[in-house]
Amino acid sequence: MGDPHPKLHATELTRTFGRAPRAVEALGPVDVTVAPGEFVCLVGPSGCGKSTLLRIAAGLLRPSTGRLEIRTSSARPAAMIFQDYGIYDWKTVRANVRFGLDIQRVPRRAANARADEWLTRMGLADFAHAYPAALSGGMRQRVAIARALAVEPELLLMDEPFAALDAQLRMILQEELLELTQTTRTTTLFVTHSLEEAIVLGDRVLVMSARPGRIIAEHRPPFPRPRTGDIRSTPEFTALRSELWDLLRKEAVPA
Amino acid sequence: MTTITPRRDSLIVRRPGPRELHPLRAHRRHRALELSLAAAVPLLLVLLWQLAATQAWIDDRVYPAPSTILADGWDRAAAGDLWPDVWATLKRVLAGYTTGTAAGYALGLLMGSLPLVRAALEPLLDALYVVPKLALLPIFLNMFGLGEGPQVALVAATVFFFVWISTMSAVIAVPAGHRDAGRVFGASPWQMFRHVLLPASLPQVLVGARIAAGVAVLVIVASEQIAATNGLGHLIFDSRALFQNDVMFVGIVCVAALGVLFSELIRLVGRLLTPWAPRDRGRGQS
Amino acid sequence: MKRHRRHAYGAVVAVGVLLASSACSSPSAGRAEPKADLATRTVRPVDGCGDTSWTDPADRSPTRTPARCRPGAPAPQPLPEPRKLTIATGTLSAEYTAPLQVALDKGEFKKDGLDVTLKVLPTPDALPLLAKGDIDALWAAPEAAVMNGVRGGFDIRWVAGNFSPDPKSKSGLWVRLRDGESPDRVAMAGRRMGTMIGKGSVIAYPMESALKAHDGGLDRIQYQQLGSADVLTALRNGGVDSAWLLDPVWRRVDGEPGYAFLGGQPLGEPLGGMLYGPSLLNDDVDAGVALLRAYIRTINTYFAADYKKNKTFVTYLAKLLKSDEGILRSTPSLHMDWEIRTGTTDRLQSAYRAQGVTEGDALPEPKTVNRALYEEAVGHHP
Repeated sequence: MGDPHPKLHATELTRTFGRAPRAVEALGPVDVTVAPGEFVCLVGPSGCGKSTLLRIAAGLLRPSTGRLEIRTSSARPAAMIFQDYGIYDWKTVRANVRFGLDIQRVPRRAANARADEWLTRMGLADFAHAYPAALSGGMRQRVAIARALAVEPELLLMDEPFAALDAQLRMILQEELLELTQTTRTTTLFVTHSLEEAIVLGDRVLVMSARPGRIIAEHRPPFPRPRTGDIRSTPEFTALRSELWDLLRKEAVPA
Repeated sequence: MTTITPRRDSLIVRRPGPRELHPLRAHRRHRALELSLAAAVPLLLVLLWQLAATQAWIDDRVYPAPSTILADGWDRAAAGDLWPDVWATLKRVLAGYTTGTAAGYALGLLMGSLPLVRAALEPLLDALYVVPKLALLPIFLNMFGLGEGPQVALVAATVFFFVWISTMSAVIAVPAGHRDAGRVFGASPWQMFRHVLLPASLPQVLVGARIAAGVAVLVIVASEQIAATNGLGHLIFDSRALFQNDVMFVGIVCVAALGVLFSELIRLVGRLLTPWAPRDRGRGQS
Repeated sequence: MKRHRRHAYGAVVAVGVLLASSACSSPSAGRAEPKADLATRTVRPVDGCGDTSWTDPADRSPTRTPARCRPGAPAPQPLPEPRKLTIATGTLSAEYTAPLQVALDKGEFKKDGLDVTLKVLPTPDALPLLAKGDIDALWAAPEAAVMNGVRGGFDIRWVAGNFSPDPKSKSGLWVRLRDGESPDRVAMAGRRMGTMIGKGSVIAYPMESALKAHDGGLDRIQYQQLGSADVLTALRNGGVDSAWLLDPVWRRVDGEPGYAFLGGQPLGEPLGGMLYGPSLLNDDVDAGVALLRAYIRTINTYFAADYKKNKTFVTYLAKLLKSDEGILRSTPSLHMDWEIRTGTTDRLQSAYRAQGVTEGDALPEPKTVNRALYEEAVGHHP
């Protein structure tokens, strides 16, 4: 079911860090294709190179071999949400959300309007003029999401964004993200080490092996859109989860 | 035969204390205690000094009592004798401080953000950092002749190194995550600088600036002793040479006050520039 | 818990009252007055010191012969127990320190039972030590700093003179003559004066006199403090247009056209000498007299007249002072004089006031000068 015009297409992608003899093969080779509007989740054990793949897609790293193509009409199509150090302590919440637009030199008034819109959507309107230091971890990640979505990116890259949050907050934010992305239909590449999260959020789940990471499995969670977090209690969910866990467990345990 | 008295179970009770029952009152009391200690301890020390002088535990000809120093200083100030020296010293400190801070900040930003510039200049500046700037005074005297030049140059040179090093290390220490976010959004070098590097490094730079403020006053006193005909440093050492201990102490107290005020001024400026940063008074949640 | 708090409050209040009361009481209450010992001391006549051994302090004639005794007089009167003494001085290479160094070298102090150490210390460092009694004597001058110290409550007195200049000496105020000026009429107002001597030195007094005689004054010239080598250079190349030149620097402009000598230290009036602190004024007056006795004897024995006539002595002096024989011979002998003239400290203090280096009323002579010690050494009854 190859889309003739994939949003993102990576072939034979590898990445090595350092120089011989201490070179570390972090990633690859991987082939990944993402269709427009698709929400793809990457799951794998620690150190498997999933973040590296994301960084190559973001333009922060170049691949050592292979190639990654993004079909887009703008020079900076991607917006990224990090696990931490994402938003800026010295900007107010509103200024943070406006950051991407400021970089793009959007006129201040329009930028403010768009930022305020997203603040309201994320439930942050009351904190518009507060500094991030006054916010909880969950609120800060909401700001990060608002910031990324405010520029209406063609490609959304998320690197374990909820890893630093507690279990309940995680579930709540997963719900909110589901709602958001099902509305905006942004092409998304979501990296996580939580199987549950991947199955709840993704149109497709790609399982990666241990370092150097390769794609060892690909599944489509059989849940139609729009979905909610209720799917967690269905038997299909449990079945898929155990299946993927069997795969992952072998990779997660060091040989 | 001894009888062992049976142990009776006693009750441990966790009860609300004064802080829980009257939180506002407890908080107010605590704040009042903090403030009164902050004021009382210095006051106590000054009174102790006064007592020591009047009770002749110390020789008040050599170490005048605070009341003498205050009275003498007041007379001088009223007669207009004190202000010219204070102003002369203040002018030099301000001129040297602004020059040194501007240069140190500029070079620190440059070397922090551009690795090539850093590679070129760092060894040289690291070597100069440890040279006691007072030892450079004769060189400055040759360069600038007599007058304000050498003094201002000395203060500027001293302040420069403090600000340069804290700026450069602050910029280098900006976490990669901050830079990454900017890069993904496509920030140009100038945008990266303005939105990320500059504000991220500012709190640490201001710490260096505040330390430099105190050191600037220290340096000017030493340099005025050698190369000036007015100013508080000159007053201190001149009155020492003329065996006028009370005048010497007035000068010392004035310099101390100047140092404190200047340092606090810089702290205030810092707070205005970095409203997001935690207060560095470090007194915890009150 | 309530009782604790009450005790704490009580203690705080008590301490507060105590400290507050101290702030109200005046300082320096109840310091002992200096011992008026000297009034009770017996003065015996001294063999070898007759009428010429004492001159009237009021005699300020420039041609006065300084007081003298026979060589070897006053004879040593060793103290019952030998005593260690420290004398501080600013330099050991100036000629006016010669009597002290000769006395030390020839063992004159030892003869009086004194073990003397000469320490080189600048006056600002030496004065506080003298005032506290850490050093016993200071070979310097009643500078402004000394006056300020006395005013501040310290026991310091000028107890013996050092020298007055020879009439042939031209150490003092030199000017570069401007067009149309002659040595008799030089406009000193507004000139720039270079000197290596700081403000508050005794030179202020002869400087003021020389300046006043030529429409000047200490408050109407610009001071430039320079190193001794720079003073002459600055005068020559126009950096300054007047300078106070010391021995032997003045010899280099003496006789050169375009330079005039306007006056130096007053003749017949010593401006410096021995300063005593509390240890020799109060604690051990016998040692104080003994020190002066040895000093006076040294003058009478080695420096009585024109000591530079004696070639061997000049060679000896040159080696002792680590100086050059030729330089020593180029200037006339100093007139060593252990006595103090009346009113010298008054004149000094008025010059200090003109310079602005002292404050408050002038100190009367009994507070700054004590002639009784040198008078006792030569057996003169007041």
